Amino acid sequence: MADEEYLTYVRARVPALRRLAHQLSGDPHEADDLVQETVTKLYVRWSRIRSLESVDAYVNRMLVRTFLDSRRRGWWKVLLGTPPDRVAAPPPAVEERDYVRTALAQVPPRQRAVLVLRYLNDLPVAETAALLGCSEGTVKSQTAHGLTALRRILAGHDDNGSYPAGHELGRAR
Amino acid sequence: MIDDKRAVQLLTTLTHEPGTPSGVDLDRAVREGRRRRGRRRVSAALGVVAVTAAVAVGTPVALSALRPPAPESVAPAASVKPSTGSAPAALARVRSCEQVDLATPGGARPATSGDDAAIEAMDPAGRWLAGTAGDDLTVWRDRTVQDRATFPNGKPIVAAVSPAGVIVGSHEPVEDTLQAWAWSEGKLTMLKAGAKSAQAFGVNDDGTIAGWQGDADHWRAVVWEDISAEPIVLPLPAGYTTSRSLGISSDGTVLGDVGRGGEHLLYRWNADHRGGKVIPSPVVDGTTVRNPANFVAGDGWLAAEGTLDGKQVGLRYEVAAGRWTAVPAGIDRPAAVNARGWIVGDDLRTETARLFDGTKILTLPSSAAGGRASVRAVSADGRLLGGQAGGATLWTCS
Repeated sequence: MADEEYLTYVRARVPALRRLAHQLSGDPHEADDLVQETVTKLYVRWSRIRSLESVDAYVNRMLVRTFLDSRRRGWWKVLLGTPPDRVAAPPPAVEERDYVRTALAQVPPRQRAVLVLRYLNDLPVAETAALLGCSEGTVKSQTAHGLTALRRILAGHDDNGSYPAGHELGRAR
Repeated sequence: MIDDKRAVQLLTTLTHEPGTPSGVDLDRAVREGRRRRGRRRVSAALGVVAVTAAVAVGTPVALSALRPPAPESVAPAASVKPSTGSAPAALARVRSCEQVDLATPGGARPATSGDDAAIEAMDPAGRWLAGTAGDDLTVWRDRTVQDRATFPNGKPIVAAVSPAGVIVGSHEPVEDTLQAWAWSEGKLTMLKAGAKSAQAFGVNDDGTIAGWQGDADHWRAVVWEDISAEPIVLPLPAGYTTSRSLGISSDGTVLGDVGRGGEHLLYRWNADHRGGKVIPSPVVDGTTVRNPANFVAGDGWLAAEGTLDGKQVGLRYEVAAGRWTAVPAGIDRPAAVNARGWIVGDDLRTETARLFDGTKILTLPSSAAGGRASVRAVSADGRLLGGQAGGATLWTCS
């Protein structure tokens, strides 16, 4: 019976969890790995978690923690970006998304998590702080640092939508 | 230069789900979750883990070689030409492997994460094996338990073993702080660090240890010339601000990367550790590899994965030749690469362990349920592989 309840909950939540994991990791396959680990942990703890007032928030926190933990333990894994193709005309929206996603993936993991939670998931500062287990002041400073980093990385993308030749992207995983 | 408002506006384009079909497997989550629950119950009831008997599993099992690269599953044939590089001419292909389950020590703390027991690293000859049993570091010599060591706050990361049996790795004594350690002759030593955190990832014949120190946002590649030495920060090329190492070769060459503003380039430091040069981004037969990732370093080699002409492929880079080559698909995450450029890693979909022996991808036998296994280490000659298949497992190949 508990399994049925768990599966019903998880099936409904997987799309949102994949979206959040993809925003954090920038990689669809790694996003699935993060969600897989999160829902496995959730199964182990389901009997305690199911009665919580806000299961969604708890599971989101598990996912973000799993992401940050994977970064800490996986710094030796390196994802090098490749030079974006030079385009004469403004790129289609999908290319812009890819470019922004690649840029976001270069922002340090904790700053990236703050940007994703605040600007892509509309969480207020207080909830972001609770989810990350830090102070509101830390969230604010991480937001400022994260935006600065993102702006610097995006600076290679000029107003015409073309990418400078030889501009090489890389990111840490 | 864009402002914060424009940056946030661009960010909000990333609100959709991944375009790929979901790879989340709920049956597997329940199966693995039940296994973890069972482990918790056993640990709560007994407080210890029982000794596991050493069992040689069956007769040698023929490796199941994957079919020759099919057009729909690998990059174009022109790109899939595994280089023989500097591999010895007499190098024989692997024909079969035998699974040997290793004994684990009694009294180990139950595993709070990951596998119950696994081999994580081995020396080039495969005499010294290092891994975990429960949450404890476990050391085997000639397949017999030699020692175990307990760390505070969970399971250690076991990274590498030298020919002399020096084992290095890291652990997390308190949240958000990592500490590098080395085990030698039964003694565990915490390596000195000039920063909040440090990790060790490689150790070579001379006992030189490679790793990094710093924090999550600012890290620098370092070497320790021996277990008691102060870390030496490796030099950066002009304009770069961060660096980290993936491992160290037998000649002292350190492989890693350098970064600035979030941009990272692969880098090799010379054996004297006074300089180095950038390793080119992966290009195979003139085609740029997209999204190269999951790099691991071996003695004179790097292995990774990436996308070539829209298809997922394995990659390897021979430092001496300065050349990238593609290997057939079949290993989702390379775990180790040896001095011959042979790669071990897992196929995540089937949860099986695999070996690339320079010519083909092979699936390793496993007596575990569903044939599930994971391989983490490979000897210099490729005849001994380590990982887990229901317990700490060694594969002997011929």
